[in-house]
Amino acid sequence: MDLTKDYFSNLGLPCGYQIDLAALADSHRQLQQAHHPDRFAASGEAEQRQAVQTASYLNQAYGVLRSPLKRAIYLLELQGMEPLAPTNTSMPMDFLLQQMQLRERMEELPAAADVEAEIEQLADELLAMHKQLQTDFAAAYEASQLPAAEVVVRKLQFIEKLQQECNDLEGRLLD
Amino acid sequence: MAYSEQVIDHYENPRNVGKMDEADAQVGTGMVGAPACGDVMRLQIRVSEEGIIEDAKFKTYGCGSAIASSSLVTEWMKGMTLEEAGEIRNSSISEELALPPVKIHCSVLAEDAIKAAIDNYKSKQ
Repeated sequence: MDLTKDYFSNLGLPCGYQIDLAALADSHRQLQQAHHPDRFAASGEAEQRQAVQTASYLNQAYGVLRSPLKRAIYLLELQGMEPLAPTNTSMPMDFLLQQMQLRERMEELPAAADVEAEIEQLADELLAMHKQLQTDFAAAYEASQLPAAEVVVRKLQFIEKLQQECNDLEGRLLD
Repeated sequence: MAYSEQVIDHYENPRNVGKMDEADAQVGTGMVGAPACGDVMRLQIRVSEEGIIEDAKFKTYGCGSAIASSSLVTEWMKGMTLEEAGEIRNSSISEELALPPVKIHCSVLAEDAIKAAIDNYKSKQ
């Protein structure tokens, strides 16, 4: 396996945002078995090292390709872009406003009358936004509108962060 | 990673947290976000007729360094002219707070928020 090639080619999947998750899992499992370091226990040092590197590459590839956010970032990186560059802090104003409002809502949530229902409602809304952004990314990427696709990736990153905090909050409040 | 004493001080006792009326013509509002960490920052300034920043408020959802960076700049900006505030650089912020390299982007966020607030104020005049 040529580890300098992209994850899609090495896992035998078409390069694109839409992905067959079952095919990805199958391919990952088969390759992982074929290159498992245990199979090279009796081989030379170079082959063993190669097997370890390949196993690590495959895990990395699997983790990136199955995540809607990481896959989107990866596709743009293949195009030479750096969607999450920390020096770029401008985002659409309406999106930032919405982010502020969602954060304020989460901050006030512990004082709500029905905390469980409020958390569930927020989590549902975040999930819906996440799905919509995946659709938006696929459309922009397939139309080769890369700057637009980049903005979507950045939004997706903010939403995932919120989802994570919403989860943490749920853990703290309801356990 | 350990935070510096300066960061902890601003994080535990943030200065000037709050909100001003965005519709007020004397108020400039800057909002920025850092996709790498999902932090959001709102920085507001109230500018006098003479062009002096009389008051500054912030609200930041993010890590300790992002909160400290915005808290620090609200302290610095009070009493400055718009020109002086526009010259605040992220390097001064990160130096004052002894930010490690991985947290430099928090000071970049604060610098960009200042610029955005000034631009917003100017666009209203």
